[in-house]
Amino acid sequence: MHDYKILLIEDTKSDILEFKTLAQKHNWKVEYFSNCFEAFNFLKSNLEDYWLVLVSSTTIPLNSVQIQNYIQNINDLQFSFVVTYIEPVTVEEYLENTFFVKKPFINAEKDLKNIVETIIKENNFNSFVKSNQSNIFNLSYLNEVASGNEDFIKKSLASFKYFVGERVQELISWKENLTDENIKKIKETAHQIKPSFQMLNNEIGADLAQELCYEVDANNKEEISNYVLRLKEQYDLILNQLNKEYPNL
Amino acid sequence: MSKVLVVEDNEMVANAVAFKLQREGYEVIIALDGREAQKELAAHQFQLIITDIMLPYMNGIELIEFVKNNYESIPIIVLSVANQEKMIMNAFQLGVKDFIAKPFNPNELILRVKRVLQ
Repeated sequence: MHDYKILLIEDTKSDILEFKTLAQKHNWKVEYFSNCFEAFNFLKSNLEDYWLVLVSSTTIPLNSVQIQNYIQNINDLQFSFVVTYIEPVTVEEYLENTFFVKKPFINAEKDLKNIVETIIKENNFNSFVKSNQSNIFNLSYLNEVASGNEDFIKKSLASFKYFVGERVQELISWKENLTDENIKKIKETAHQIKPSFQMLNNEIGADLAQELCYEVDANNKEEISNYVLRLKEQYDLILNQLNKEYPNL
Repeated sequence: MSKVLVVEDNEMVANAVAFKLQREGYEVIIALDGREAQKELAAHQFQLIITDIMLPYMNGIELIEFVKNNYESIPIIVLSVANQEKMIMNAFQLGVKDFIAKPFNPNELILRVKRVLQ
């Protein structure tokens, strides 16, 4: 029985971030590449697994047809192919045995789950390879700083729970009234709390905080609201997990 | 032993820096913003300042200028996220000794601090 894994070739940062959020939710283990040639090299050295390869229809320098062609010619590689797109795809006629998923990924959760289930049934796989550890957070960085001091780790986790929690509540209240002053505060706060997510190895939270700063620079109010909510969701996920693992913080 | 002022508005980062330095024997005082840092500078004699760039009330650049004008001999290390290139360049032009990216590598932090204090 082969292991069944996901590989995403995608060069749009916000799409990668959305896919990471889905992967976290379903505990999928995913390999991410923005460059298709790096992805080819990776696949060539991982022939023992069965890959669900998702490719954006807008990738460069090779398009999705050329990528599928290339992948089909990697000897002994077993894979299923998914093209992800925003605008209607014009290459369908060239692609055989291919699934299509319309982005944004955040709205395509059901389609992606259906594809996964179809492939699992067709191939008699038990399931996807799950990530070894909780995708929500891990303590590897804090352990490195702590050098065995448990009190420091607990103090840091409590600081995340309360300090970041208060900041996130402020973000939510400022989001309700996006004045110039509040937008400025949102950027300062997103910038302020980003390292806290990094210290818990929660890449998604750190990326969301960074994207929030970019959206403030672009003065894109709709996206500012969207990213504040997604950052709050990410904080809540961590908080739930913290409360389970450390009920006495 | 050297006394270090850590100016950082994220208490999780500030506590981590302080914890690591205290383990190496340094005395550490934390200031959560630029104004607090000014008060601490008036009250203590520091051998090193480690400061963030984006701070409430008085940003890191203003703080660095204040230190250069009033406490010229205290070396400064900037601790900041890596995408603040313009601010970091400004900081170096003002004479800071080093830059450490957040989240910091704990061993690297100690090496850099030792080097600046030599």
